[in-house]
Amino acid sequence: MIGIQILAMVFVVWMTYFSFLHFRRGEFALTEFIFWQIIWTGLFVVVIFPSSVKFILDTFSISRAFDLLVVGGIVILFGVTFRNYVLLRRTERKLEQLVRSLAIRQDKP
Amino acid sequence: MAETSDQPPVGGQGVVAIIPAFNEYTRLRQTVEQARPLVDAVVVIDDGSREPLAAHLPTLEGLTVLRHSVNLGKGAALTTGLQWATQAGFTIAVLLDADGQHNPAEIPDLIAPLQQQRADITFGVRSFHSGMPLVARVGNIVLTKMVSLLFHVHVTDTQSGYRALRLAIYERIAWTSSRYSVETEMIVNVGKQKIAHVEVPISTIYHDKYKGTTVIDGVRIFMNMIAWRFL
Repeated sequence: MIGIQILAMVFVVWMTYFSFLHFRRGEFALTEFIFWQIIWTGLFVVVIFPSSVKFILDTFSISRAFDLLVVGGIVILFGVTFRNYVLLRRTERKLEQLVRSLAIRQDKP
Repeated sequence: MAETSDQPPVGGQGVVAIIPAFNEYTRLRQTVEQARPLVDAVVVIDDGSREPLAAHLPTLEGLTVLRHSVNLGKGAALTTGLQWATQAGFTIAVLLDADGQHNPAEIPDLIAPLQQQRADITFGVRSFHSGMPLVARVGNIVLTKMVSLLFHVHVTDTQSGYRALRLAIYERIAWTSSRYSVETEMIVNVGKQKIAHVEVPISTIYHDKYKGTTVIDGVRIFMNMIAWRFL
């Protein structure tokens, strides 16, 4: 086992603990917790057994498991960024409407 | 047209002056006191200032202060003012800054074309002489050319916030920009909706060249324009 694999495993264990913590605090719903657990477990498997994703590498003509991880990571990051953007815009709009309605309501007798 | 300051008050015309303000403790009081006799009502939108602005304003009949509990930006403050004015039944709104850059004495000049049915919105236009900081002058010229090129709307000073509009057209030009892009988006929407507009010369006043629209705001407005045109 090489150093980078050990580091990746520590990271995975750390993130699993964090996900569990958020779930216990009620900040994650069960589905969200399961979703993140699948991600972390998948990462763990790929880190320990890089050959487990060989069929994906062959299908998409990717030479190394590391490249698959990078490509997959970038795709997921774009997805998460987009989702964050949408949520942020929605929250901003709701906040603006709330602040406005409170301000206008102040004036009503 | 712009230099007349001794016209009689416009009372009885359903005119409201909307003044968005954020942490403006020095010139707001004077702006409000000068504007009040020229309109039927003044509404100040305190956009989440550190200290509530109401405490720094005189008690005047026809003066309303609405306070945003958090800072939302100029565009959002104007929207609050216009929604309040629409609910209150006013017909014309004058938008002016709180920092003394807009001379309230010019309010009658801005609303005259609306009352004479010559336009639905008027834009106050400053002269780009040496009184305007160089960065503001260059930025304004570039953004104005861009608006003309991309949207075929010809307004000489796109970044002046001194404007008057008939409240009946507000829904047609309603903007989504919450910050300084609001001036430009308003013009873009006027162009898209083919709303009759008139330019009115106003004084060029700068008390503090470090306040108001910055270079970063200019870049943001530029990017927004590209998005409004092509996305």
